[in-house]
Amino acid sequence: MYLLFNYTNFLYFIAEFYFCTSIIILLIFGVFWYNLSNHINNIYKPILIKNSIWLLVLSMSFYILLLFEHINLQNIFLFDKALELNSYYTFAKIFLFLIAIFVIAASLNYVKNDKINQYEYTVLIACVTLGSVLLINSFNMLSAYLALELQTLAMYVLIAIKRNSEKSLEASIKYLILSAFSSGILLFGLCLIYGITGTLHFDKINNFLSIYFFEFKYNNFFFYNNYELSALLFSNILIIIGFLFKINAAPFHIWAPDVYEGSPTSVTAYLSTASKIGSLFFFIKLIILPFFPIFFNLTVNNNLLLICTILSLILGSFGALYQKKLKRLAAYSTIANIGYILIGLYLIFCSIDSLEGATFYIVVYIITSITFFLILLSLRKNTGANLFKYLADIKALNVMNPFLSLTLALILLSMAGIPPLAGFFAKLYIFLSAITQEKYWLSIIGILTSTVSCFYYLRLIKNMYFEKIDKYSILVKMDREKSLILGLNILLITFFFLNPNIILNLINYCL
Amino acid sequence: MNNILLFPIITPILGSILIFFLRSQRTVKIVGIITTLFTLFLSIILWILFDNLFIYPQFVIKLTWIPLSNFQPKLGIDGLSLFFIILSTAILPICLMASLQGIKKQIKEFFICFLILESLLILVFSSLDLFLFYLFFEGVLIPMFLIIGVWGSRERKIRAGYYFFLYTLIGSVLMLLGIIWIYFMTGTTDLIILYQLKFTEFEQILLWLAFFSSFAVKVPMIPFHIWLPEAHVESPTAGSLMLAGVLLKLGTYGFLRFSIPLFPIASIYFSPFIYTLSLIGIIYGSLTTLRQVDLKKIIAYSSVAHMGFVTLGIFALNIQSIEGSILLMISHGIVSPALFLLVGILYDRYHSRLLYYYSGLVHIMPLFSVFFVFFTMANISLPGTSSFIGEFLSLLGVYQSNSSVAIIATTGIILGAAYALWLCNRIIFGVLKVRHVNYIGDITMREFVLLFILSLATVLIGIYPNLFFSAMHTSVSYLLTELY
Repeated sequence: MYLLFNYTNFLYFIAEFYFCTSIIILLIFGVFWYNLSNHINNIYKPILIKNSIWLLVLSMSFYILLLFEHINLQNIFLFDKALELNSYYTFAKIFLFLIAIFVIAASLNYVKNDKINQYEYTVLIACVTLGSVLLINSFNMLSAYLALELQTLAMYVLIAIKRNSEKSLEASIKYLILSAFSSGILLFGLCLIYGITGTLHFDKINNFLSIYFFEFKYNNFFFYNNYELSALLFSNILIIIGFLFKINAAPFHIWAPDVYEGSPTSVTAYLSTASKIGSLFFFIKLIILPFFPIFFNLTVNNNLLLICTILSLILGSFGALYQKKLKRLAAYSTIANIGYILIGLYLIFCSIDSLEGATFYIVVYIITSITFFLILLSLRKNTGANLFKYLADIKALNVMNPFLSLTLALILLSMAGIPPLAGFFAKLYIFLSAITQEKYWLSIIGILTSTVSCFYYLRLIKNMYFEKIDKYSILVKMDREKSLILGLNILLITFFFLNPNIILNLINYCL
Repeated sequence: MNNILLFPIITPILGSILIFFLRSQRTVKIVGIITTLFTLFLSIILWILFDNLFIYPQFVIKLTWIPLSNFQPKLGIDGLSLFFIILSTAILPICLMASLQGIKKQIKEFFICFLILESLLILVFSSLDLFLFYLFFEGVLIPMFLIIGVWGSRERKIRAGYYFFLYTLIGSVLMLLGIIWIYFMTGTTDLIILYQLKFTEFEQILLWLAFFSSFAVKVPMIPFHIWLPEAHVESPTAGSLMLAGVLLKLGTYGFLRFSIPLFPIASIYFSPFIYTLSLIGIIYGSLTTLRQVDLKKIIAYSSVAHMGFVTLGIFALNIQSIEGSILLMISHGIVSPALFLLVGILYDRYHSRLLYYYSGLVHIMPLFSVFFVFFTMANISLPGTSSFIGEFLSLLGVYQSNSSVAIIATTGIILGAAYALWLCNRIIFGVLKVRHVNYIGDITMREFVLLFILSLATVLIGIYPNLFFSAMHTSVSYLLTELY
């Protein structure tokens, strides 16, 4: 009886309830409408995917509208502290849904051309988004794990949605096995944490650990008569590794190029942008909330993050130099960019200010990345059925579609960090916080790998602008939704320097 | 009247936006040239309104719409930067007028690239803030990369574009780290405030090296000069004009504006190092020129040699040498584009830049030969031309500082005469190689006008250099008061 009057849970959770309901309604709509025409003589099963995509876009927009009143919140706990609502997470969720709307609207043309006729595509994308939302909001190890599994399970099916392409199936199986393995590692870490601390809530773990380190101020890794500390550190490393896999960091990045290449391009776009938002923001939460005392007091776990950062930077930049396919290049550049974000996250333990730089870099990077994938989605010859796959296919794009090549050139220059585009400011923030904390070697490595990555971006620009080919082909006409989204993003990135207030104030306010 | 600096910056951008919407090539060309001429007019107004006796930068505009913390960038003109702005706005109409016949495809984008380049150059030379300077310093790379790569003449242009971009970028990122470190230590990147601060010796040395890595690539100093011959040879005529005329001055302007005032102890500490590199540049550059067979490469390497004189003058750190270097920069910015224009004329007609095919051009192109001989004399620094004043003054200043360096540098003048006269004699005089001549046509009226204007400017500066010196005295003296 008491719980019936305590309606704060449901009041603040109304946006997610709405979204869950809309997923269920979408699924039921799909099932019923699909089988409705079964009794007509000429079997004409309607192809529902376009409808369901628009319906999903609509419901996501309503979700964003519902979230607007949550922007001012500070620390509301729901469902017996399983979820936490905060203005930072609301910002993350609004951003996530905006990007998800962009990807879904852009995939309209893709599913028409590649004949993905299952309406479950939309439902699965919605499930992945729901999983990301719950992951961002979670305050409990268990709810985090559940949300993570929801996200990943839906992703397995999404990657394999193209049933007749063996590359997609192979990519999906690779992702399945590696992701299941890392989830197992994660689970083992969770069990150890539960065994030692007796609780799964983030704040209680934080309390436990800070008291623990307050009493025993040691700086050594090995204790001979204290098993708890070693087990704690071990479990911490396992959990961090489990999530580093998700965000494509080196040395856990090996699945990324293959999965990115194999999956259908709109799913790759989703995987590389929206699902990464959820994992990144949860990773930030993971470092700050439960495990902060470990990172703050001992240097050994800092070394883990440092090694992952440096490896991501180096492997991401140098690995992309030899790629011949566009999507693999995108995967490696993702790894390098995650390296920059990890620099920002590594610096959180020195000063909490670098969180702003890391968040800003995430925002700019995701916008750049989604524009890149949208351009990849629109490069299709009028005659053939396939998108451009190889780097060499993009030659003389300047003649075929000048605006598209200008957009792609600006995106690549932004990723390389050339002023005055937005990517330069993002990198500037990261390096500013690095030098403020006096980590000079890290910033030198970061800057040098940035110039190495400049080379392959320039190679793409060279291919577009400087090459001549014998036979020019006509590209497929770009549809309205993609052009709208592309225009919006490229304006944001190019003219960012005129008024950086727009994004920076938003991030400042939400933090 | 206070915002007068804003007009030369906005005009090229407005011009490029206007060109973006035009269709016919003729209108594009007319609009482009009128825009650049109008910008030249505006910058000459700036010169007229310039107060010669004012120490601090003039026409200062505060850019107040950037809301980051403690970042109130200002744009303003000093005695140092006034002439670079005039030079860049003057070279641009010449560039565009020289490429009216030569560029055949994508004319609209060509003009837009150049106009954006002009705007960025004015912003670079007038920025009074470290971070803003870096922003536009790097921003100049993008249009230049496109110009070299798209409208260049041969297949090697891609490699030239890469060299240009990557060399400059790697040098500049170290400068970015230096700027961030300065911001962290002092809390500001405003140049006028930073001029009053003093860094410790160790900091100065490290920061000087960071800034040096960026400027040395741009100057170019040996051994970072490899991009220059490639970029010059592969780029179109207008691109070479721009590159030789203005972009090489970015590096030495950086030395003048940042390395010497901000880090005086390190500048004095490293001046023997710079002397060595400059001397190697002069002597090696001149000697290498003797064995080149490509006409543009000859002039490119002679640019390396001239820039060696300039850096020699800058780091001698007395008033004669610095003023001489600035005048040498200006005169090099007039003579080198003229030489590239002449080679471009030859290339437009015969489509070859190899030295072997040209000989005895005086017989078929007498007017061309007049200008070629004249600018060769200017290259050698014949008294009466502007480069004489510049070289003489900088060598005078270097002699005061270190006489053996001056002696070795003076032999560089002889080597300069060697390659320039040899080039001139080989292609102008002598017997005409009739079997290579398939087209007989002297220079057109348009080219004549451009060359005449450039030669007039050379002679004017050579005869009456006080026109330029009078604006420079105050700023250079203020620069040097920091050192003593």
